[in-house]
Amino acid sequence: MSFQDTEAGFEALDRGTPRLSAMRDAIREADRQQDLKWQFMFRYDYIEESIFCGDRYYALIMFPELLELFDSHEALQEDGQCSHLMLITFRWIVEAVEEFPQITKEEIDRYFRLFKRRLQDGGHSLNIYYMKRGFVYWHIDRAQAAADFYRFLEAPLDEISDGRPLYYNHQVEYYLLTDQEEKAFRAAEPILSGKMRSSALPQSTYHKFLTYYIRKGDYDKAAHYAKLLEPYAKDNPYYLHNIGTLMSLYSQTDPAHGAQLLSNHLAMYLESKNPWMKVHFLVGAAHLAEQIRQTNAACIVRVPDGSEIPSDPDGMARYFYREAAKIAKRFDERNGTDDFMQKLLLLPVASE
Amino acid sequence: MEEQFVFKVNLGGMIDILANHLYSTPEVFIRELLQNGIDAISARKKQQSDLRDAHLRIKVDPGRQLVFTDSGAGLTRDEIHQFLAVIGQSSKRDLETGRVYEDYIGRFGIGLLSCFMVSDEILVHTRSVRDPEHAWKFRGMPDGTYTITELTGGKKPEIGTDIILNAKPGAETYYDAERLTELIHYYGLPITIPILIADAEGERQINVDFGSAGSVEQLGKRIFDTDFLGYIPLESAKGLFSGVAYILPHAVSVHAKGSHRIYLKNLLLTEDGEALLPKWTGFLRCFINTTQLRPTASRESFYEDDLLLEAREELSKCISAYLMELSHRNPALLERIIQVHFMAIKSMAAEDEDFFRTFIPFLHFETNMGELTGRDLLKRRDIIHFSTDINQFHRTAALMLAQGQLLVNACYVYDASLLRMMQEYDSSVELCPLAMVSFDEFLTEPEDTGSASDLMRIARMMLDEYDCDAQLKNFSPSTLPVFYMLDEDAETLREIRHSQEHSGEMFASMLSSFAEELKGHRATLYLNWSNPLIRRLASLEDMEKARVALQILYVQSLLTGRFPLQGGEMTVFNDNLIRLLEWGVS
Repeated sequence: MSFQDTEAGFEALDRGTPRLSAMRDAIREADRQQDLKWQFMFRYDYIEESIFCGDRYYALIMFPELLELFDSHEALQEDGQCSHLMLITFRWIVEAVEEFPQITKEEIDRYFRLFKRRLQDGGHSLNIYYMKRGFVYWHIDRAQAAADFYRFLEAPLDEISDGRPLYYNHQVEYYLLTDQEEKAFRAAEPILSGKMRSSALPQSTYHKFLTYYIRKGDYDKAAHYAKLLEPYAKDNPYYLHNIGTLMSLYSQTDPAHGAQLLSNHLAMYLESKNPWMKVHFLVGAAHLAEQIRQTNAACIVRVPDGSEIPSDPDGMARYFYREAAKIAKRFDERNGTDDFMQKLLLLPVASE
Repeated sequence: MEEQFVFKVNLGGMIDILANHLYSTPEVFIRELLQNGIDAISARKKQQSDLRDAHLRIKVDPGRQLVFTDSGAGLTRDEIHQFLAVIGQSSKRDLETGRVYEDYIGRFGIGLLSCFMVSDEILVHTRSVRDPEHAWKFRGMPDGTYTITELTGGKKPEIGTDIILNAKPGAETYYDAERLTELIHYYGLPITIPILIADAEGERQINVDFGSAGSVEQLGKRIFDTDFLGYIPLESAKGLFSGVAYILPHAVSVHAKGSHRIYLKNLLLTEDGEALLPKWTGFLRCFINTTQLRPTASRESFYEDDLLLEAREELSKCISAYLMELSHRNPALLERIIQVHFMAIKSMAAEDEDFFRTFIPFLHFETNMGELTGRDLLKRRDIIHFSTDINQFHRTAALMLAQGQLLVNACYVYDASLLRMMQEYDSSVELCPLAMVSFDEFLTEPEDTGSASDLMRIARMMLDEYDCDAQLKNFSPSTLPVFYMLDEDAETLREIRHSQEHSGEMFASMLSSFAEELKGHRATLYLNWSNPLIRRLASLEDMEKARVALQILYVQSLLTGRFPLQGGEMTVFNDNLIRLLEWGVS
């Protein structure tokens, strides 16, 4: 079977774990045959799958190998496609590193510096650099995040930048984070009206508005975006954090539906290795479980067999709070802020 | 003091942008003419409910001129100024409230400009139903200028509007009855208002007859040029759409994006079904006419709102209900559809419980006992193990089979979801992910292993440096001397180690912190006490030879399981083979 056939065969497999497993196999075979181009391409495929259909953890493990392979082979550096994909992959990685509190602030800075240098060496715009750094630094250093946002707006888009739809989407995010709702709507118009789409849009934009309205306590408006978001977000590990946000809303508007979402995604949560996704999921689960506990709502949450999650409302509320707080503290310690704990305390939660 | 200014607009430039850049192809001018004509007739019907013989007529002088006539409401002099000469102002919009009437198609008042793509001027003759005493001639130019003249003398035109276009160089091909018919069928297939076309060969009606016997199949063949397996009528109970979904006669990728014909109020909106159709409909080609959904400004897709979600859900129900009904009415056809489109059927079953109940018995699953159907799996009373990791499946399939255990390969799209649904559907189904299997349960404790104690001691010492334990068990097949097993975390740790060995300093610290978290997760090498080789190794007096053989078996088990080798494991393997050879020849 040729490597092209191997790659085409991935299509028949479910996204996430099944594909990653098959891609691992393909990497080994390409390594065994010392087929440089496919050694690179299968690693790229693997990282892409982990970033967009997984929890991004395996992308971080594989990326150093890809970088080393690229840096030590001139043939890859001279190959336009590989050079392009190398930078595309790098931009995913610099965004993902923030999601792992095991990675220190200093390391994150170092990765950004390297990313910037690579962009400059390739003669590329720094648009994507400022965009990603601004996004990552929102939780670490707001002044720098704001400065990066305006540099991002000024820097031209190029082939390494995200496309125009994501360019607008990022503006939406910044404006909502800074409570500039009208500007956010203006930036979101091409996306919300359906004029612009991408693989991540419009769902990412829906999530931003959903989060914003929950924060503002406007549950009617939040419910509108929740309804639009949910079909995209459910059953996909990439959107596990979105499920958390949905559960936060449903804790206030529809606990029974929230309980159903929680039941359907607990196995995914248990499998995830991404602390950022997990903490967002747990925060929503904590809000929901506390609401169920306080109101004695007749909601059934199905807990996966053999897991340590208690099935009684009291125990469940305490468990989700404890687990959320554990991860939130790790993030806050790394970032030097209290953002994650504040998120947990946005709605009533049961502390120990 | 703040001063206020007004933007100056280069109208000619604006028209050029709208006409030449808003639309993807010049041929959309026919869609815009059809749209204006239909809306004008709707407007006239509002004022004259007994209107008969409403029609659209296109008179063609091949390669030179066409006259597009509608028997609609026509325009007064003021309306010409308001609607034909102000860009962005549609006659379908109530000027006072800004509200757009729902039974009109156009919304943005820029459609007529598309005619500048095929003509250097737009000539309009019009006579309004509200002012039948006067008739007017409008002449619009692409530089933004226009004139209005009253048509006097001779016979007044009929109530309605004639739009007269003269072919501009390069656009002559659009001035042809056959080409126009083709375009009208493409852009306005569901239109029921009579459309007449006239040229030197005479006048004929060109609407497609949807009523004649067998026309649905013929229509499918005509639109999509394919002989389909069958078709599914699409009718919304809420009146959101009507149409037909044709079933492709060949398999397509589950992620395939088909080309459809999706019409909004009888006019083509898009061929892309992504916004409206459920994502598993790649095996269908749909011809759909919608009424209430909102188009985007470019009229190339739908605005994503609650109505669109409802329509999508109803479409999904139409398709699944039809297929379910087929299981009673025409099971042979259904079987053929499942055979060709099993992936799409699985996808629908994974999304819809009713559909799942009907189809699960027919769906196929790959297992270590061969291909089994959903019906076979539902009948089983033992545990159904499943793996979503293709390597784990291949590593353990034979071993599980030898212990009489069923293992399903749930790596294919939707299989894992369907298995979980099976458990919800029938609580007697017992599912267990392979990751939760404790192999100690399947592999029995051997008796009388005293003679193996030295071998096991050597094995544990030797394997320790590879983060691996050794256990002695009895298992089938007895021809298998060792079996290497590790849980997900231990496997991840191996991957981190591999990455550490094959990367530079930049990410070393990150990888170390990941590895640190997984420290303590170890693999296990099971030695098979039923295997003659293991028994022979245990009986060796020279334990160094046993150690060498064990190292070879260890690496062999890694290779068999397709694990990436690390830390010089291959070197150890080769060195030990050489030692064995040397012992053999000395």
